[in-house]
Amino acid sequence: MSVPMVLPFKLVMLDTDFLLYALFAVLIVLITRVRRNASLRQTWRRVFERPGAMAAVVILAVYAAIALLDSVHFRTALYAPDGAVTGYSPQILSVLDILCAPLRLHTEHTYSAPFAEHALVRETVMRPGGRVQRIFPRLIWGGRGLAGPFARTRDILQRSGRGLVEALLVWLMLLCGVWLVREGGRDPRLAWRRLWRGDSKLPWRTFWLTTGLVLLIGTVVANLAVEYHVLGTDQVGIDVLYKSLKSIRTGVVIGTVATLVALPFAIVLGIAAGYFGGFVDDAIQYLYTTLSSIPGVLLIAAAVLSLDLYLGQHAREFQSVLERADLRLLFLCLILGITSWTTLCRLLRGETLKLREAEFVQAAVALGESRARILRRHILPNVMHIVLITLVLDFSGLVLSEAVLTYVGVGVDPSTYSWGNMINGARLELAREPVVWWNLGAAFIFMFMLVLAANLFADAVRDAFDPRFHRSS
Amino acid sequence: MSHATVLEVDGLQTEFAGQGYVVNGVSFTIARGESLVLLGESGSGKSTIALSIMRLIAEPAGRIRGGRVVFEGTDLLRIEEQRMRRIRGRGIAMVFQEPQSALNPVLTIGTQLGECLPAKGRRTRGLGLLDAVGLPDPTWAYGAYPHQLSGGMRQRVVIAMAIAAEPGLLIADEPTSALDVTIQAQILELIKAEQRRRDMAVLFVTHDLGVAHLMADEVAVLYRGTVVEQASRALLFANPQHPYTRDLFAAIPSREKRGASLAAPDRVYDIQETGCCYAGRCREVQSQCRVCEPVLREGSAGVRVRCVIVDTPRAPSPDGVREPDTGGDPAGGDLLEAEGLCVNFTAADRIFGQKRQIRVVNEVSLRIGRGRTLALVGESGSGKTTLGKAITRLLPLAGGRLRFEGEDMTTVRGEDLRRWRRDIQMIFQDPYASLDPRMTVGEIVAEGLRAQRIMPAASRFSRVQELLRQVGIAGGSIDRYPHQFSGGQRQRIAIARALAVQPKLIICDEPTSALDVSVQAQILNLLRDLQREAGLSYLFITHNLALVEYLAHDVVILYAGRIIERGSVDQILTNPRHPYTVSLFAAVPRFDHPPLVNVMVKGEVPAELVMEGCPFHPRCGRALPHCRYERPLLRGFEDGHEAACHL
Repeated sequence: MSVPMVLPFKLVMLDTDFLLYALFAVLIVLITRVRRNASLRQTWRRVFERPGAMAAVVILAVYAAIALLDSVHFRTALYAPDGAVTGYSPQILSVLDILCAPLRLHTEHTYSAPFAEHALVRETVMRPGGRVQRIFPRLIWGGRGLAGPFARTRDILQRSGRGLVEALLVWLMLLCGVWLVREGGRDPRLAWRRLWRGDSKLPWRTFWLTTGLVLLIGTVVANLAVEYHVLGTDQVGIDVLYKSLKSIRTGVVIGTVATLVALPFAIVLGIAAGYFGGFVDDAIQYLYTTLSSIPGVLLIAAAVLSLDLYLGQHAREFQSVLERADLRLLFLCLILGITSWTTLCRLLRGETLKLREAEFVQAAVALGESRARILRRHILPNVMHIVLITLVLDFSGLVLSEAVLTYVGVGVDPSTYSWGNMINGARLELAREPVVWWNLGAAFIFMFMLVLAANLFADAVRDAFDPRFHRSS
Repeated sequence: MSHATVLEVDGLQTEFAGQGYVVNGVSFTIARGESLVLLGESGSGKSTIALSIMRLIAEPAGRIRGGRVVFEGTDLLRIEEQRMRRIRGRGIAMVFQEPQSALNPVLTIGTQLGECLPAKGRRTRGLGLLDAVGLPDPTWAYGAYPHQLSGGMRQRVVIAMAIAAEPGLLIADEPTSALDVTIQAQILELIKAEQRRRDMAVLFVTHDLGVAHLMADEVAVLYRGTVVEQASRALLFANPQHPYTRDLFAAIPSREKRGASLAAPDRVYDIQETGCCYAGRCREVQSQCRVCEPVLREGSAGVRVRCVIVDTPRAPSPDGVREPDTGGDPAGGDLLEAEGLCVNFTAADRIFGQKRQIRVVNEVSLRIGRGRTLALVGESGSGKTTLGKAITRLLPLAGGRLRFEGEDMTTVRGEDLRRWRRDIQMIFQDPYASLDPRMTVGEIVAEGLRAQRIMPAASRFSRVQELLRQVGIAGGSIDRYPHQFSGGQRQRIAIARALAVQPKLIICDEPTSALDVSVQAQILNLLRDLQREAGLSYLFITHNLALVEYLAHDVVILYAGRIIERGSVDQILTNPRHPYTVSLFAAVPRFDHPPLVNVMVKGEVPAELVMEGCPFHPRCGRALPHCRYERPLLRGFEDGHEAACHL
């Protein structure tokens, strides 16, 4: 009997997935265009010439990769006993969920500390013989394979060692492959020495060191995570490392999609206000002055609460919790975007006012150029550096604002994994005895790394693109 | 020795990362009460020398590599920073080019001046100094903030601060380059007076031969970081020896050179690794010049020249071929006629929403003949650029009529306006601002072709190549960006862009004021050739009277938005009628002949427009009582020569 050709999964495209794909596609198109344009390539080179920026880009790339893996959603097939596909699971999973299957599936009953073998909370158990005892029970998964009570340290060291060796092997293979293909054509030993001394135009040494470090952390944690809860578990026993990894997508979505929403408003209105002046300028200024005088949190709270109401009334229209939560995430991006375009708009208006009087624009007018073309060919390219600088600077701010908003209770859906939700939960955990610090700590470390990398990168971008910092002549 | 040496610079070398030695072995001495002028074009290292003496070179980008700077017996390069700090200001004071940035905008003049004075009797001494530098109301100025003062007054304050501590040496780094000629004359006179009174030594940095002539006892001519010639003022101006100095003189436009092309180098920058630094541009270059570097040799009468052919008698530097003045034919008819043009600026009072109209150009009428050049002369704030933009309809007209080839263009709109823009083009002052930094040279030049739909896209490329060749830019530059070109080259690209649409009239808004003399000569030659070949008309906006003498056919003098005198260039030059015109000519420092009459204008252009009477009466030395309330109208003198003056 032939089994009908049915895929073992069914792809699900969430709204934010689509936006993220689109964003990355645009990013790739932009990169290829930059590579073709000599002067833009030159400016971007200046960004990457900074070791800090190079390291930041590696970190950002890791975050982006995780976010992308977490954005390929599907539902697995359900099989009848004869092997035929009868339908699809109601649970939506992502590629990251599959890669992190042990993390996802190894759930405990409740809190446990990092690397713990026993739960954090005493439980009452009935001993054989009817004796009732309050003990710290063994975890279901954490440290399950340990032979005896004192084997843990040894096991951790062994697994870390294995991770170290793996990282080193992968790293060396990558290094040999890429570096020698690029540079080693002439004299491999010279190429090595140059790399070792950091003797190259771009800081490749930093790149490889950061990559090595990321690999090392990755392999060591991967080796340990199979056996332990590296960052502990939360109240309902979910692995905190898994939660933190899943939160990356939320952070990245908020940081990028919200800016994407803000950009068209800021660019169109800012340039229009600056270039046309008069009534247009007055109207746009009135709009953004009003908008920026309303406290952003208030506006967001109102919008999110009314969305909640809508979601509550139309709960049946959503096939899964995840889709519902995703709509809320998208909505949060929208509202964050709408409240955050005013700063960039003001900057662009000022710059356009200046450019409108610039002699090259006057010359274009004198040549009889149309307004549309002047805006497109002269104004827009000359304000793009401001857009870019604001974009990268705003990214980290938006990631942080997600945490704040969720903490206040108007952020993402409580079922969405996000650093904000983790911090929100930590409010009570910090009051416990003993303190449950790992939820907060994990959210802090993951968010800190992302925001720090984004800020370092933003600094480099600003220095390279802002004409006040650098005059090309 | 009656004149003690104040400063001795010996073999000074300063290096900038990526540029090599910007100052390479410069030596000179200045005695008490004497002034030495460092004369050079941009990139000659003249300002770097001044900064090196003060030890103000920004490290680590720049570094003083060698030499001695001995000031009153101490070698400044070998003392610690703490001692140097005491010498700055007290021993050596400096006046910079921009009076704006030399003063702190949030402190009053008194506070800033007080920092240079001992606490005891600070106010009295401060007021005394402000009075000494010629501020009209020292008590008011003492409590005022820098923005309340005009540029000239600010420079006076900066000079007051510099001389407050009675320095032995005053370094003035182009102190008047940002000022109008009438103000420049006042400031130069002030520096000279203070020098005489305090017996100071002065090191004066400038690029202007006229200013150098006025200020110098001794002149050192710099080229690419070395002194190529050093002589007393009289000798240098009477008989320049070094080929570079001679070329510099030949490149200056003047009345005598009318109709001839100016001596201009083909290439400005020619990196020469060995041999004489000027060998790449020198007209009299010999084979040995390219091999070994000449030393600074003592010639006759204390002239020192860094050239192998010193002291050989030579013919004067060749003037270009003189061609008949083609544009001098007034019978060609008028290309453009402007009648009673008015332009308003709106100053909006944001808080109360009131809008105030300020009339910047007032009832200006002028005609530009075919193939002729009309010079529009005025100081900053006279409205000359505004008028130029109004004529191109880049700014809205508040009144008056504009006729071009007999057709009324005052209210033309839309498609007709776009088509008319083909006939009238503009070249701007700052070649760094007039080219879009994000466009390639090819795109920039082709912009007009595209906008005016002159030719199909396919044939534009060859036309752009042709235009670039016409202005002397290599055709291979088509894909490069403006920042890869020097100022002079950029101005050529801007000219090519204007030429692309084959205009009949080009408004040149001070096209050479940001350029060096030798580059200016190139651009002027180019404009002159274009006029001869294509019969172009120019409206040449300028404040540089030497340019007017050299290339204008007709002249209009603008003051505070009104025409105060107009006529042919000969009429205006030989017989100026308006006191302002007279003093304008007198204020230009000249080296070729002594100033005509020594009439110095009092004060500065008032901040508020003079609403009643003659706009010039507050500054006029010959103002009559009724000048104050009765506005003089233009009245004719000779044929076509008119002036607005009651005299």
